[in-house]
Amino acid sequence: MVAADTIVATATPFGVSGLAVVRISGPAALSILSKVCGSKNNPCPEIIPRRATRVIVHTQGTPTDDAVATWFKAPHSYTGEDVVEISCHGSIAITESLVGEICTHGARIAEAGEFTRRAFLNGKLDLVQAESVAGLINSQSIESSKLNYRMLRGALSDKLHAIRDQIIELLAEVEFELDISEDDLNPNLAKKTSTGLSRIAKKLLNLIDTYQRGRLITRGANVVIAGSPNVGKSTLLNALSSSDRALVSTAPGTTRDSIEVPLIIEGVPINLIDTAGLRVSTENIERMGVQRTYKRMASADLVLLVFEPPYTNQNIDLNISNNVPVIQVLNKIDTILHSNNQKNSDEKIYISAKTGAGLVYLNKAINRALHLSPSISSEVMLTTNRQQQSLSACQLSISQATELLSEKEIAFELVSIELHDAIDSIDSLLGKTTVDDIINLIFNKFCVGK
Amino acid sequence: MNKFDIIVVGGGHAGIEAALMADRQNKSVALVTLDTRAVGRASCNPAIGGLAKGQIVREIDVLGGYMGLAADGAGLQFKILNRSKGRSVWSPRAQIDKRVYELLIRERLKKTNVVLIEGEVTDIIENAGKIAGCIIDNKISISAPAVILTCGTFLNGLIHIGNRKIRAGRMGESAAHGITEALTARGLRAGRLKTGTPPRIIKSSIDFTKTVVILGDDKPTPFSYRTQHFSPPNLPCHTVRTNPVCHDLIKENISSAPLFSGDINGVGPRYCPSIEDKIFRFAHHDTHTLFLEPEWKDSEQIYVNGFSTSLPESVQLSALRKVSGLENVEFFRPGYAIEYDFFLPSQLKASLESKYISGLFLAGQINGTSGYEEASAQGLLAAVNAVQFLNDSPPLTLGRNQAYIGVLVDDLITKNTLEPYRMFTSRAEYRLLLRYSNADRRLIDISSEYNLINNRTYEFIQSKLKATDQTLVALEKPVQPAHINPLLSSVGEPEITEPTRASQLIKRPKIAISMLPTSLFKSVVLPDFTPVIVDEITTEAETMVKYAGYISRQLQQIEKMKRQELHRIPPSFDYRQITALSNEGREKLDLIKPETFGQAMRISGVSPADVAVLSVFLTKPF
Repeated sequence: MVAADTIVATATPFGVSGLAVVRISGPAALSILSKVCGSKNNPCPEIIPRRATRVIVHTQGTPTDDAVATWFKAPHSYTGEDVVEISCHGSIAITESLVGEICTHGARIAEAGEFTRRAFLNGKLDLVQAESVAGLINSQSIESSKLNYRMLRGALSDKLHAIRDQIIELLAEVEFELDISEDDLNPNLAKKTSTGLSRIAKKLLNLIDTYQRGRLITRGANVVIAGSPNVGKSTLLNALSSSDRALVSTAPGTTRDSIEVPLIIEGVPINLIDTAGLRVSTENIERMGVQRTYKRMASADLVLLVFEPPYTNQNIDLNISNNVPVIQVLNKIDTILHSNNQKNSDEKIYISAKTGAGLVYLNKAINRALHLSPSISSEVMLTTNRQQQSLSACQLSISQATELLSEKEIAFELVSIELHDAIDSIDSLLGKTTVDDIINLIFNKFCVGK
Repeated sequence: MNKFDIIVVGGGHAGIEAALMADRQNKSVALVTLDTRAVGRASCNPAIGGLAKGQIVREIDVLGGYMGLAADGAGLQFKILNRSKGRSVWSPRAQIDKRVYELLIRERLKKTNVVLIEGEVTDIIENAGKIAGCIIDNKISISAPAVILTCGTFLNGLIHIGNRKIRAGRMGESAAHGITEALTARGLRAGRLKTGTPPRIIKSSIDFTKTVVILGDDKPTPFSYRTQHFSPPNLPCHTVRTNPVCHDLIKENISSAPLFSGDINGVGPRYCPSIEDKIFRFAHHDTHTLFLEPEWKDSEQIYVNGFSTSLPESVQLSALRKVSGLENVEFFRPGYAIEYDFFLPSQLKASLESKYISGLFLAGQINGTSGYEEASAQGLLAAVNAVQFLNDSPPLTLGRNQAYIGVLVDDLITKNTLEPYRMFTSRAEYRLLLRYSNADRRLIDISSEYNLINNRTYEFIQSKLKATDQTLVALEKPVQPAHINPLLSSVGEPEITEPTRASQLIKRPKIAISMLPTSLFKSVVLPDFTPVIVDEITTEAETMVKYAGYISRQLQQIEKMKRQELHRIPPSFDYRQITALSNEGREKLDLIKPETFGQAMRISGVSPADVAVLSVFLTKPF
């Protein structure tokens, strides 16, 4: 068996679930597992084939999830290669970051049907299995087409095609120079190509940047409600989601664990998360709740920091990074007299969770803070890890080509390799380009031949 | 006397390589040609090699073909093209003396047991899907269990000059009739292509004071590893340029060009377009370069490269007379376009054997290619595989990562070319690996395995490769700062502070092996190599070091593809039964019937999803 590269994908259906399975297949599967599930001080436990082992998943060196890993040693696995399956918690954030982490250790995201293709190539499938898997492949493609249909059919696809066409156009000029022109090197080629590439790089970077926002729109933004005990956080959650989901009581410290409610605010999906009140507690369970709150805040897309009159202790140390936007929600205005100081701004909103006063403003402020508005969904955005990975790979090739062009003696055939790779990266999202597409362009663009 | 092992039909570049190789393999060979005096004739330009084609000539040479040797013997100037560009696209090219070239080939043939038969093959003899021989001139039958068709542009050839039409295979030589009909009657699909050639003009009618002189390299590089005494002349070519007045004249008379009047149905090449095509398709260019190339040494006959045309003779002449330097030009003969039959190459296996008639091989322009080098390569491969076929041994197929010849054949059988196919380096996805300077390393083992070259050449190539390897080993030795820093600073490179491996220094763009201390290379054995070979060894070692990163990237890609290439698809596989395939994918797969999984993946119109579906279905028992 010829060594292939190592691939990874989430094996369970896309979406939120109790558990999810991330599958890695290929020669590096086991070594990647030990890198992802261990750190210097806390190495990955020994993995024995076909035995479930508890592991701690690390993302960039810090523990992020408790999981169970199983190693199916080659050839006794689904694909016939070394396969590792990691059962982790089924939040999209966890699976996506796990897959991303695995990729940084040398795996790449599997293409549709690739596990099955490998299984077939390694003789792991017989006729009956093959037919049942054919059905599976179909359902996978339906799943993935559901996922990407709108984007790939629409604006994103157009954008990617446009970028690809621009790369092919530059490549055609390079190929013409290498392949057909018998004259000396065209002195303007390097500059022209660099200029074109920097334009393409800018477009790619813009697209890659949209991944964060694209995720918010498709997955929902995590909006964490935090504050001291008994300032009305749970009441606010109930008010915003119009349900009685969170337990409300006047005893401080009622919410000990986080409560998550998915809802739509101003047309945008949001996961509203109620947390334990921030205070120094002697009670063990509550203390754990507070710790969890800090963790939630750190990974939030937005924090609603709730205060009650007289709104004094606004300077509590939140211990959250500057990147996370915060809105101060000054609650319980129904209990105090109106004053001129109660002026709403984007960072500070006066409300009454109990009566609903001011909630309209809060909704709008949340939306603005997330830089989201319903109309944004018509804009082009990357929505999946796969798209983001492919375009990052494309961007890397473009920047390597640019670097080659900055050298004094330029090896244009290497530039060509990078541009081919860049096109391949886009094609892994769109479909395939053939050499003929490039040659056709050469023919149409240049007068070829003596 | 009428029984042979192999019959080769056609005496052009493909036919010659085929006959010579089959003879070398001790098979009895008949070469049937319409005119035995025209064997080895170069129909078009007086040059061999060029971009991508030069690499092919080298490959042919390592695989025991004759083209490189003949070109070395007949060369008038030699040049490595693309020197100012990347190393992998450096390509050798030579202007040749067409008469000497022809002569060398005929002399070479005389030294073999190949039987030359003059006549027209009018039909084939076939029994139950197996070839058995040919019928000549409607009456004589000769038999052989293998036949190689290399009919070039002769099948129902029709020459166009303006509205004049002449039935011919080449100007002054009659066309061939019968083979197309014989094959189509047996179910093979034919098509029609077009190519062209420029006028030949009289040297004394050119005003050379108005031309630009072009010379070859001072240090010429031969094509062949077998060439012994190599001291070719360096005769000049000249260039002139067309101008708007010339273009206007052609535009006014465009209706008389059969390409535009609709008289020509065949599809022409886009890469070597006629001058009328250039003027219309590239209307924004107000000038095109024309190369004046001598057809042989001291030739009065000059080939006007770049002015291929099917315009009436009078228009050709008056248009050329608008060009500075050609004001008083006179013709030997006008340019013309020629239409001819070809057979869709997807009907061939990778061995170039017909999928439908066993023992029948097709090579050269009959497969839709264009160019001497492409034809020779196919002739050679067809002969090797005809011999394998006769010996009941598996065929020789070359991978896309092994040779341009591999790319050529795979493209032909996978893509079903609809215009004359010419090789370009960009057709090779592993271009970096397919250098002219490593053709020996790529193909020597195959050549030896199939007994394609003699021992002396084999030994020579092995010693050259050994010297290259020794050079690479030497480059892993450290260089002392004191020995190299003066040189580094003189070329503006940062100095080194500690002993550094020579290969690290070579990776810097400005540093060459020739700049390193010669003491490094004491262990390299260079047994009586010519300076050209020593240069090539150095260049090759340098390239391997400088491009190491990218080369290993390409090697990794090849590893990934390998399994797909090894996985064969049974020829009887029925794609129509798989409803999960896309319509286009199903149609293309059914038409081309790929031999391997890898080939299936390369067919345009077959999507990655189709390939995944196919992979699942291919486990069905047959």
